[in-house]
Amino acid sequence: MSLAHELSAVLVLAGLLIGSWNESIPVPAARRSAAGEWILAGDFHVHAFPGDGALPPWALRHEAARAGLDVFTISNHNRVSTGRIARWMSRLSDGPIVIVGQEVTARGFHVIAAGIEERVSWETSPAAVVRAVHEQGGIAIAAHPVRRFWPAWNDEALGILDGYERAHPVIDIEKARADLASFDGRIRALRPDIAAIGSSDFHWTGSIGWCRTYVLARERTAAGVVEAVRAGRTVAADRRGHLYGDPALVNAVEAAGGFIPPPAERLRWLSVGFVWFGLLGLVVLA
Amino acid sequence: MNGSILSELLLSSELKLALAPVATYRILVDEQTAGTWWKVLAHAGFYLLLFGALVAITATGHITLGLTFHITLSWSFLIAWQALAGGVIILPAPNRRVSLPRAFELLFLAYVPWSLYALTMTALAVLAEPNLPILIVALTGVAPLAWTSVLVAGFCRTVLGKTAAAARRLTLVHQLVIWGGTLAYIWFAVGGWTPILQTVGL
Repeated sequence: MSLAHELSAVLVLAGLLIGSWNESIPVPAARRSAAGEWILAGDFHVHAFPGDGALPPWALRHEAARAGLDVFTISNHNRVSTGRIARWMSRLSDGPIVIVGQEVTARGFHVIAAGIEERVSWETSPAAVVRAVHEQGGIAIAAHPVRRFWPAWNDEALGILDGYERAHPVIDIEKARADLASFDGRIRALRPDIAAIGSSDFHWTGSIGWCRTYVLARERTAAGVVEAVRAGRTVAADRRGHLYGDPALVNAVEAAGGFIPPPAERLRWLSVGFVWFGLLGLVVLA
Repeated sequence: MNGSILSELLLSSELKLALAPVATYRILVDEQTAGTWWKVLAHAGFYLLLFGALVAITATGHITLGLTFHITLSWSFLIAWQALAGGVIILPAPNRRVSLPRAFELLFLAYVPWSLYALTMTALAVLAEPNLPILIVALTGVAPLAWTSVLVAGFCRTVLGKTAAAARRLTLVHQLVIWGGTLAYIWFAVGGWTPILQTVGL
């Protein structure tokens, strides 16, 4: 091994060690509203490996804890198997609650089904999908309802939905932000008590919990979270900490401390830089 | 010290190969280095580590030993698939000019465009645009795909002793195996073709 390779390898190892040493996992906040409900931070739209997500369920749960989440749903496209594996594994250790889900992915609309056991068919209408989710005791959330998905969402489907993604990473794009606000106006006129949801739609980039949902749950369990969403007791948050939803619920979350960002890791750039430059050195230097 | 001597001293075999595939493969074949399966495993292990570390950075913005290990472990089937695709072209080649493990070792070097692409995309994802559009990632992936095909063709000509036409055919077979497997995984991962067709606006 040449000196350049040795130095590059040392850089990679140093980066990995600094990153591991520097890692910060926040203690769950255990916040409660004035009415006594748990205020849980959740992410209902997360993709995992095996599937089109980068991280395996056990690493994803660790990252969810690091992001300060209390609960998350694994919602792979038209599959529930990864979520079921994740839930089974979650029973072996402490950490965020795992809810089994599916992103029902059809032409013209996507629905997050959370709290289900079996795969929901996507080859039908949005209203039929929502009913199929309800038959399993789950909740149905309109995923990233930007303009191109609007034609599928007729009043029949909107009338039985449990929630809609008010905050999603596309909110950082001006046009999509206007679309989400527009959908919000339409659905709230029809259903003032519907749950506002914030989700990361995490696959390979961004971060789990990038946008999140504060759930005001009576029980700190998966069933308690599903019940709270069904009852509309949620507040959506984008990554900048803006809160969306019923003003009374927004006030309740703000009174309990509001948006809590993931902890900053001071040496993160150093560790990432060391590893990246070390790997570059190993690839390009003799 | 002139430029060529400097590049000779500074650049890795992978990079030299990427810049001049046939000439570099000739030099590597003429070195008569004895290949071993341990070296093949070391190469495979390095590419897995590279993948695991870069995915950890892209997906979470940070990196730890544990995260890198878990991602590397989860996606290790990729290297097995690469080895299978390599086996399809290496094993039936009677005029191979190096030992079997050395041939696998030299073929793994041909994946350098993907290493450079992964490093670039990771930097972009972290620095420029945290939520890199999947379409941009997919479209820019044409460059390493084409570049790798040129390198594999150089491998087939120089290491496996094939004619230019046969090398092109073998490269096509190799890429079909790789991309057949990749498309099968994507089909599984996204639950059918519907999301893909939607992504490209169909």
